[in-house]
Amino acid sequence: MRSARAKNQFSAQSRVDQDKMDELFEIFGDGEDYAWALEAEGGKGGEEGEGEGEGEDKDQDQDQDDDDDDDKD
Amino acid sequence: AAAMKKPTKRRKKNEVDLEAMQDEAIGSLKNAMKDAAYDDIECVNAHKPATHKLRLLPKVKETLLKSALYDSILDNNMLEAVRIWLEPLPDGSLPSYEIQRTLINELTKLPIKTIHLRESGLGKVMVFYQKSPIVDPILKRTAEKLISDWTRPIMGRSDNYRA
Repeated sequence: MRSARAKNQFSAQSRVDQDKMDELFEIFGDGEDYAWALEAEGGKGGEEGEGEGEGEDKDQDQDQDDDDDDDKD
Repeated sequence: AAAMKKPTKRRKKNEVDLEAMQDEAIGSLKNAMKDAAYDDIECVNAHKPATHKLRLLPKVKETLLKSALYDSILDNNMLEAVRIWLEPLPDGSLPSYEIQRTLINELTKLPIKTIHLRESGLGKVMVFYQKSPIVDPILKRTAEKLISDWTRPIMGRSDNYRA
């Protein structure tokens, strides 16, 4: 009797845990959603990868550098 | 007494009008953000400078800084546009550091609930920031904290997770 109740409780607990896991999976994914980008970063490696990661900044910096040159006292 | 009631009615109508105006403004900004993101993707694909998001960033930052707009920001799923802005570009590069820093820091202030994460997909991109080796360590820690904060209500127990 006690064993059956414990089993039911365990089963219910497992279902709750599974529901939570499903929700976590739905919210955060399986970690593979941006795997392609992580692979691309890995391929670039270390500092180079970080530099590439700032692609827009680099473009912006380039623009700013050009501006700076114009604005230099 | 009638004179007393009128202003109340007018104020309520004004409140509704203000709310509608805020919703419209946020919806419009959200669309502009999406357009800027897609324009940047096209630029990257064409090997051209991608600066559309950066140009719109001051307006986005100004909006996210206003706590009075939090409800409207969340109700109108502006987080979807935030997620698109934070996503890696087609060449695997990240958006500029200024975009990352501004958006991720502002996310820590917004009262984001599970439903907002479900609608926006923001949780998935934050996992990417947690995992990416090229993300700034400080932002990485903030991403970890956000994930922890967003996980806690789902699990319903604060002691299931490391601080």
